[in-house]
Amino acid sequence: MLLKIKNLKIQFTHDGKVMKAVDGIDFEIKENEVVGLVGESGSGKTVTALSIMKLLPTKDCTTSGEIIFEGKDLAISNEKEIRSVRGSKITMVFQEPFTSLNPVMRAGEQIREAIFAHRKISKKEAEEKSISLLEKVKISDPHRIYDSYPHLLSGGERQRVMIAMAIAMRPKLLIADEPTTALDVTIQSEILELLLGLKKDLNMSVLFITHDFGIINKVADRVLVLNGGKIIERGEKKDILSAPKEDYTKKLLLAVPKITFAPGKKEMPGEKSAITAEKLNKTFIIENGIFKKDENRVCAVRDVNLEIKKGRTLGVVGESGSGKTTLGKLLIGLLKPDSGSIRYSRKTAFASGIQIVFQDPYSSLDPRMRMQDIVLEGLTISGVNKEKKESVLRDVLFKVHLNYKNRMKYPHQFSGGQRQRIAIARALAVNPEILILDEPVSSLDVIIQKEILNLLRELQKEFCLTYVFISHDLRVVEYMADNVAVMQKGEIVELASRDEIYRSPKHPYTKRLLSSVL
Amino acid sequence: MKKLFRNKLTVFGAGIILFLLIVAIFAPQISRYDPTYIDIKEALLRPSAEHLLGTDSLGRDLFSRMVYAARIALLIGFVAVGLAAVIGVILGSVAGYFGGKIDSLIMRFADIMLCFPRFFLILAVIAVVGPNIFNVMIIIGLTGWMGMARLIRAEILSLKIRDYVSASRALGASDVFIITRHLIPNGIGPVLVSFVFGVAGAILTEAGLSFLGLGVQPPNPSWGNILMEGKAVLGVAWWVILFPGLAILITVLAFNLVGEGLRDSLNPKQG
Repeated sequence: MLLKIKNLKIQFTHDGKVMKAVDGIDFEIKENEVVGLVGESGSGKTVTALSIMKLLPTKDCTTSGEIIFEGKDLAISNEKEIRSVRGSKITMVFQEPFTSLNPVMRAGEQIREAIFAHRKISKKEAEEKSISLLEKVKISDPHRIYDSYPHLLSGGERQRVMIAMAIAMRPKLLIADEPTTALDVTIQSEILELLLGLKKDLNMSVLFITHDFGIINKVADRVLVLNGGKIIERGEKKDILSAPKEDYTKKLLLAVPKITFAPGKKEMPGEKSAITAEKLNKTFIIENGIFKKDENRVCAVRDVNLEIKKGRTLGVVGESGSGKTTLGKLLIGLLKPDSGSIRYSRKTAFASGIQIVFQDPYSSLDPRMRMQDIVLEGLTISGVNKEKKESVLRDVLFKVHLNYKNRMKYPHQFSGGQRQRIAIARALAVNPEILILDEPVSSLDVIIQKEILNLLRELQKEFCLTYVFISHDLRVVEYMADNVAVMQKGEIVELASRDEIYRSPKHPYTKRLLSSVL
Repeated sequence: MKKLFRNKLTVFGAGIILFLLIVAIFAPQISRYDPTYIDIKEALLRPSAEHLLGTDSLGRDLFSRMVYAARIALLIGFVAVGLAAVIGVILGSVAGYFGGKIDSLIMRFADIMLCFPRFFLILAVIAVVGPNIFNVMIIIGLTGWMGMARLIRAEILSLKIRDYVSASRALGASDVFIITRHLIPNGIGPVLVSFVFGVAGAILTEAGLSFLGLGVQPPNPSWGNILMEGKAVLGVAWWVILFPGLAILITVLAFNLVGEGLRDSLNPKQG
């Protein structure tokens, strides 16, 4: 037995209130196995991982229980003993490759640091070892990466550097905390392959923390399902995935988006178009250098043509940087195209015709406004009277299933899903024809995600709304879209009906995207 | 708010400011004598039951003069810094929101203003336009907006790219609507802190000007000009210089304590 956790409890005290983050969990990890720890946000999975590394803050946080690693209880070990384990025998890879590397140190130096922390060797040796580690994590030109600062690396490269640091000391246990969540799908599957390969080469065990059953299916041997700080179900992967016992696990599994190849609605001849775009172009100029001599031109949207019929959904798929968000902002008029034209069935773009819902429900609502003021903002702007506003508020809150009683609350008093409903209500309050949905469910837990998607479908059916559904997740797009546009580097490389895209993709990039979906 | 009053020193400072405000508002009720009434026979009396803080060299009741001076100090402090805040917030938010040439123009102007040593600039201008309460307020206000403009500009630069601003624009909001409803309410925190510190600074500046004879003109009382008058009789009447000195010290301290507390409570990094 490599790691054994007995009755682990973690509590946080905040303003005198005690919050149980982890409430008495037991589990073990054997040598050479991958244990998947699944749960929604707030279930206590990251806290559990941090407690194994003893990385939790000492202030306002109490931990009890046993953490037995190779026969030694880490819970009662002193800081010096912990340090000999942390970073060498147990290591960790975090979710955010953008914040977990120090921006003012070259990638190579950071790997070297990780080695120096545990072994006294010469600088030269450390450098050679770092390069070989970078080769091990399958970086194509390790010497360039070694000398690069983190901001010059892509998300995937950064995550590889993190992994190189984590395996530098040939750990017995690697804790991977959502290591691929922030990455694009194609890179995500590469990183997962890499981790599995390294696990085999180095004979290590992996505690894989994720909210995504697709990833579990690919990597895990055994699964622990965490909910509200308790392990509610555990077992072999195939048992959990095929025959879950607990209701919560069933609900979680059902909510996981899957590509179903369900046939789409056939387009009827004579359907009116809601929005047509022709030859849209948008280039951003980024000025570099002290004297702004260097110009970097980024072509965010290039020669895009599209048409969306009334009451239909166009799914826009692409990886980060493909220009899908820019396209959305062009369509609604938040950005002006350099060239090209957009025609709407209704005259004006702004103020009612077309509205937008953003990805992050935390930054899309003004934290200092009450829910009712947020929802009614559009009407306030156009100077609608009080009685009218009141009736619209009741009506629109009912549509998105929000409680009218909560209208005086502020955004921070709502959950992520509720906030996204508020954002949808704000858009609907001005009675739009077209909604741009820019990754509306990407930052939500799967169960909530499903609820919001169903709400959007319901609303579309009832009010004949036209959607532009922007997402990186092909599974979600299949659930929502009638037609799908695949974007790569600012261009639409393939635009076809859902059936064609999913069943017989033509462009190689579309094929690659589809094959990396789990 | 709760966080703000958890700090005992802040509560102490706020208590003093509240006390000063009450004194300033009810000055006529509190003081027993006319602060400008001269009675040479009563000159330089020690503090007693009759004259709580004694009398000055012209026989005026020092307590009454101190109370009325508090009124003037607070009036100048709040009005001057209020003016600075209004100018600063308007210019700063316009600069931050629109960016480009407007931003460069406004911020370079602010930089130029910051190049002048402030106190000497105020002295020079007062010397030209003439010393009185109104002029002192306006000039302290006009020379104090730059810091606040910088603060709000920085806030707005980061706030204006938030999604709720885009959402508001998509709903048809005008620039003025976005600035006044979304950006200023969310970015005003640092300006409030700066406001409180600014009041302390303005009170000190006014006292300094009055001490030099370029602020509040006698016979109107001000802590600064009482100090100046006290200087002449320092050897025989310690009370004339001690009390206004203490008053300035305590008032500035109180505002600084509250400013400090406000800054900590707005800083999310501190628990």
